[in-house]
Amino acid sequence: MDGLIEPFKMDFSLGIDIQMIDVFENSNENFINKIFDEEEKRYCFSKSKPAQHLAARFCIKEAVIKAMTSFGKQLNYKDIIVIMEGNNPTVKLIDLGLEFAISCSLSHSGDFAIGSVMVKIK
Amino acid sequence: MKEEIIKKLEQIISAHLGIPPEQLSDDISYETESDWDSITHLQMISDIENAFNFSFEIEEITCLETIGNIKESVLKKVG
Repeated sequence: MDGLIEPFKMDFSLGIDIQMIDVFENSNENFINKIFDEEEKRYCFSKSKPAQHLAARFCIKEAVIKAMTSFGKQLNYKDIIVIMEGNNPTVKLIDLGLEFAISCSLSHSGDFAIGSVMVKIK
Repeated sequence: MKEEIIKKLEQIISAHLGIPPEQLSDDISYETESDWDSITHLQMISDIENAFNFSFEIEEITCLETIGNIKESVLKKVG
């Protein structure tokens, strides 16, 4: 149809997610281990308020999962690693890193954390 | 044994989804229940694993989309 852009033909996709930070306060180890790798846990638990860092990283992972569905890819939380490069969060993909470039942004305020990503085919 | 497992399972699911155990039906799903979001799913599955002392593979977790699926999968693991 004229004027409509077909999303599956784009070479990029957006994703966003928001979460309550308190979900990650005093969470059981099993729950945390399903989502985060050792490096992510080390970073978050080195902070005075780990829950807000865990929540923001969860949002990024969820946002990547959502964005990737546009490319027909189904990812799990541990396929996506959020690391810090200097002061900037960066996403690494296990297995798909050569195929996609990802830009991400995260924030937290009050009770909420939010993460957004743009995924682009390389 | 099976009844005890189902009862314990329903208590955990009920606590996470905010649905009284007597109102839980097997066809309630991730798609139809608005309180059943991704984070609730992970928390609920983690609590189920802890309660019954086993672990699902991550690929299994994404397939547990209805209460019926969860009951069936848990019974296979511990029944």
